[in-house]
Amino acid sequence: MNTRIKELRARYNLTQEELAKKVGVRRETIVFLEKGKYNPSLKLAHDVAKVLETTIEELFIFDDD
Amino acid sequence: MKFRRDMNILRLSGIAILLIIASGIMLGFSSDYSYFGIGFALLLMGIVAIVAIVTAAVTPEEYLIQDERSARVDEKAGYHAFCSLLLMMALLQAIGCIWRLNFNFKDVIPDLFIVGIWSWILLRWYYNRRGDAR
Repeated sequence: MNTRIKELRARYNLTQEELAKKVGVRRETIVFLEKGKYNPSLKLAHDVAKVLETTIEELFIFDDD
Repeated sequence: MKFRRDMNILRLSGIAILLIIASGIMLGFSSDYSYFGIGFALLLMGIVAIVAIVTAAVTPEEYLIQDERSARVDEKAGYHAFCSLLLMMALLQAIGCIWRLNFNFKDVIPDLFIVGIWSWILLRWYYNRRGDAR
């Protein structure tokens, strides 16, 4: 799984800590999400997408294999 | 280092201080051996509580948020620690049966308890580090 969180976060000039605070999670969770090392729940994916003013489909890119 | 002073920290600090005062009263004013044991236990609980409160108070608040990832890590580590405990018990039982050791489970309960706690702590650390991309 790849994500565009880092790219969109940079666009909105947000640090990982600020994004974590806005979403209501730990900074570590944002780090793992950006690295694609954590599969978020639908709610967390929705919350992150909402803060970054995008859609879940645009934020998370799943490889078919 | 910033020391947080919110209501929870103050309330728990009060309880810890009360525990230490109660232990002081029991240890200082009682000659009964059983009260001495209780007093010592209360003192130990008070000291552990103070250490835990100070650790929590100096830890930034964002590290203490229980989000879905930390909850998932805790659950997974707890489940696997429980499995390792069951495996240990099965192994001990098997060893006892094969070598006819006349094994008594009561004797190894403290050891099993330690295995369970340490398995949980280590697995929690490991899963927290590894992430969960499956």
